[in-house]
Amino acid sequence: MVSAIVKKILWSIPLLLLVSMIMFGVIHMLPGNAALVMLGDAGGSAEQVQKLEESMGLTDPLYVQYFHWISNFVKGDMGTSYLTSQPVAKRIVERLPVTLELIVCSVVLAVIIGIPIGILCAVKRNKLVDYIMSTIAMIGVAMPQFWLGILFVLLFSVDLGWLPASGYVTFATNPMRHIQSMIMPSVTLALSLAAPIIRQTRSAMLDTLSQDYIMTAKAKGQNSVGIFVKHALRNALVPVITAITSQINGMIGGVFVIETLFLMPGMGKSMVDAIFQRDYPIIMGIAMVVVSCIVLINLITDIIYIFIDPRISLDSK
Amino acid sequence: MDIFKKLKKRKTAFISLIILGILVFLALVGNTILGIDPFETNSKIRLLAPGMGHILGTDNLGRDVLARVIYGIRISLAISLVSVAFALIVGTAIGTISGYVGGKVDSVLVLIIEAVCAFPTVLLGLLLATVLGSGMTNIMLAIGISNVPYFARLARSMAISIRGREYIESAVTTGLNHFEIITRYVLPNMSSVIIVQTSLSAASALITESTLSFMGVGVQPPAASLGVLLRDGYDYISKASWLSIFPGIAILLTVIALNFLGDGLRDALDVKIRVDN
Repeated sequence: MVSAIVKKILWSIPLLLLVSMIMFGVIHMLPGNAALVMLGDAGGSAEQVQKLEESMGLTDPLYVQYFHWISNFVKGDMGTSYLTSQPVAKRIVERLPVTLELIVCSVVLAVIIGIPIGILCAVKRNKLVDYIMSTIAMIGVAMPQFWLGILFVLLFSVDLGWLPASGYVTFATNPMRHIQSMIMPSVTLALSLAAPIIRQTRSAMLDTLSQDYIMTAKAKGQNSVGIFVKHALRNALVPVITAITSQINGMIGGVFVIETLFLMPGMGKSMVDAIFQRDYPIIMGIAMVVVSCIVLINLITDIIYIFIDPRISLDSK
Repeated sequence: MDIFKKLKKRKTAFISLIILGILVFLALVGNTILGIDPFETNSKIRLLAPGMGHILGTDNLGRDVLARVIYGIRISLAISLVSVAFALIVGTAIGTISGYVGGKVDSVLVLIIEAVCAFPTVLLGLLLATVLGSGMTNIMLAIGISNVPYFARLARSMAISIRGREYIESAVTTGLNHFEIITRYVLPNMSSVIIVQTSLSAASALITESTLSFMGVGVQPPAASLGVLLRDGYDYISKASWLSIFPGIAILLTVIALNFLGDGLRDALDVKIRVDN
């Protein structure tokens, strides 16, 4: 088991290296010229551009640039933004709280909404409430996140005027406004995450409820709430956790979309802006942080699985 | 036709197939039949609410929204189908080779597949679309590439399980070469799984396409996908809500139909393996 875990951890090193190489390669294929971006709207003579490119190391061969970047990266230096000259690490630290708050709020909301509804659907299987909820979940899976966001804006900002359509207010500036500005983004992201959780919880609960030991517990005369909490729910949680962690990739993709839609100054918005502005160091830095998080979460999930079920082979993924 | 018969027995899947058929038909000839033009502008009827004459209203340039939605379905469906076809061919090829050959080749390919999978699809699509430049072919390529690893992963695990079966051993003893074994035995035996994945991937490709378009890296005017329509409509959200609603409904309907079809195919073809995207 220990060797399996060590193997798993060692595997993520070449994985992350390869990810960084792919990223670096792709980013440097982006059309447009970073030196021109840096010189701003005023532009510059061909000579100035050339000089700047040389000083930025952009004229070096790609592998030299990569080597330079990765050796700085492992030392904790992610470079500075071309546009604002702000260190990338500082930008990430600045923007991270907004994104983290969005993710935490959404996951918590999604779990609060998803698991009880999933259980309800399983218990009331093939009854009206099951059909209604399952249909809603199915629509939720099929709905692009940004469109759900648009519909919310339409209802709560345009029609009812309850919530701001976009923008972000820090908690320190105005706690009330802060909460208002967080509601729609979190709920939008939460609902798109809740839909697969509902489906997964429902089918996991149905699976568990039909197991022999549940029948036995019933036959023994244990009350149904007891059976439910002690046996069914506990065993159904594993697939539900799988459902949540397997959404992580889509979830982070959703963060990019939601932050762009609601103009939230988080990492996602920062990344999208950087892509359009050709701010290579920022793109590279944020991408590495994001992908490392995804790899890390997957690694932890895999390790938890090894503990739960040592039979899970690592080779057959 | 065997699949078709089995599918016919499954109500939701069959209805989805019919809905998809109608959508494709509409996308191809709908505007011609209805005699409406998605590009005809008319400054006198700008932002007209849905009603007689223009059932779904008009946009900021006075274009008929119904015509634009129908046209949008055509572009969106084309992009998602072509990109998934690309991912299907490239991904299945990579996955099959990886799983069938095994050894070092497999390890390297798996590493690459896993690395690409670690990127959120939206991010990868956004980067690729920016690198390749906008335009329909490039968007197809960007979404296609982002979907390759999912097919590769699936094909690989199928190839590994098929490789161990007895009929492969007997095929080897009869003197067939690897290429013949792959095309005659390995690929046909994974086809059901791949078909199911194709349907589900087409659904997610459509969502990815609309999301990328909304974020500004979609097809360029005059071409307009459903995502582009939503993006353009968003500027008028307080004045013309219908611009933000109808293209979305079209996306939702198409994606639900594709998902149902995928689920139905999974049952009809008796696919046990979990297919996801």
